[in-house]
Amino acid sequence: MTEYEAVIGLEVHGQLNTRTKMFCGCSTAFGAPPNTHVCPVCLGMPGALPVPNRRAIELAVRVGRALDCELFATSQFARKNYFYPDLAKGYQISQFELPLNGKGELTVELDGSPLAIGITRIHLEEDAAKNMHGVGGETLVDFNRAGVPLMEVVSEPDLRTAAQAEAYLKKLREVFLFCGANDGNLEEGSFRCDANVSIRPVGQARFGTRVELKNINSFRFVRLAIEFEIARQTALIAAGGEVVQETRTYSDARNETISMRGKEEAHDYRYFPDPDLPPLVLPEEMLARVTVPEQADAIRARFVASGLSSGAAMVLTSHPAFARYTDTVIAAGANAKTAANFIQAEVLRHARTDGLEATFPVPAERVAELLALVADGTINGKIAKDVFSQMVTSRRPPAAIIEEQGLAQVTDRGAIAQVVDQVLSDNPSQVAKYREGKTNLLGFFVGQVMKATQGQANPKVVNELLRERL
Amino acid sequence: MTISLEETQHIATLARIALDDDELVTMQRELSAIIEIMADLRELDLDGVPATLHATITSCGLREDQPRASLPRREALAGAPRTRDFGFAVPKVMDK
Repeated sequence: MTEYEAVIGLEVHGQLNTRTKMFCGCSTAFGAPPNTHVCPVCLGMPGALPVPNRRAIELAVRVGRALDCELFATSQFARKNYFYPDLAKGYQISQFELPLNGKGELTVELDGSPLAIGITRIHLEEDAAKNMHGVGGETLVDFNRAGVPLMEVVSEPDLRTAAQAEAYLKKLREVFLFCGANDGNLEEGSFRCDANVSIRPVGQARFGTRVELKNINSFRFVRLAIEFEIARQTALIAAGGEVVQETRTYSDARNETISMRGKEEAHDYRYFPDPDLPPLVLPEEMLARVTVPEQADAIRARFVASGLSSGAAMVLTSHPAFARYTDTVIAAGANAKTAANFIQAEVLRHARTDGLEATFPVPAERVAELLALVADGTINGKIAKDVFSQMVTSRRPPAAIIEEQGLAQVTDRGAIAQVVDQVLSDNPSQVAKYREGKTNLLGFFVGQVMKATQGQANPKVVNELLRERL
Repeated sequence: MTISLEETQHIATLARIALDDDELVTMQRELSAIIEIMADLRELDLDGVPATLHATITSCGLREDQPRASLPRREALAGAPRTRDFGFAVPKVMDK
């Protein structure tokens, strides 16, 4: 029986993290009332001229550099012509023959081994408007999204499995986030993926007929859609049929791909250079200034080198703001491992991410102060958690909370000895059992002493005194 | 003729222009004439001549990422043949 393999290429559209649109000064804020972020340029009115957004270009250059792409100092905007109500001008401004970034590479880790995936190009373009379904069978068009800047990252057809595709997308999203270029939000559609899937007999160099999968809005659905599509095409060809070149979408309710349009509407976009936009020549100062921020892999390696487990390093680099927060706490003097444990266990429970931003319940500097108070023996770890809860609600510095409520740890041996003696005389039968050999009762005595001191006794001193007396 | 009647019809369809038979023939003749002028360029030796990316300006200006006031919605929608619920209303379309 013939063995088949899949050939997969991915196209990712990422909305660039700008305040304004690609070619006009309208806001890109998500969720505004329909048609309130529009002007003559993004509505395609006659005579309105597009002017490119410097920031959008810088961000796309940054991502290109992060992906080791060849950067073209001169690129060009082109018109991609098609008729659709979401496109007021009758064309989308994109890049065709001369994109901003050429060939690059992204390395993903899969089952513990690295896999390099080629990048074909990254180009700039503008988003289309949004079609809403109105009552009475009408479509209502909202142009707030029209003209929002996008970068399209096109991969080489280097991927062979759905798992590889998923790993590539997750890694690309991480690069976007750590470049500060895109918020990686699949649900709101600021990170969108199309997949080209074909199959061929193993050993055949020529590609099979490809199907384009569009509008898939989660990593899991991308994997499921590709898996379904590979199985569908393989069964079709094994049964003597032929794959039809078409666009399909994925229905999660049915876990299958569904045909969207046939070959008769095959695209003929008649690209040509946009006469409204002269060539995009990157200024020297921009090329000198735009650098790539430290990427997640490098931060993880640094965290592991400072003593963190790879699991902790993973969690603390799951969002760029988490990594910055951790770095700030450590820079303020906290032990790396202690800081990592405390941030994971306490801080992240209260942290909220919103795109590229994150809000934390307590500033990193305050957490560093709290951990310093643990390190110098002023409070113990358990009290630190209580103090942190109060910091979250009262926003007060840890030292003030400890001072005010007398939470400082009791390390005075005399004071603790009194409590220890009291606990022992209150529990004669447990003392007898301990002395008969039930040494695991030590924990019981420690607990009693901590309870009597509201958790403020220094546990080390308590242990020492109990052992002496028992 | 440099381009066929079928190609002329294809371009008309993509441009959403309805042409009758006479118009199609006229369009075929006129488009062919344009393409033939372009063909003259082939006879020139253009080795080493950089491609002209734009007729007049050599590089485009850039804009700072500063928001500017958008149009009042009433004005934005004023030219639309039909509006509803603050959207431009068009005949029903399928999602792409």
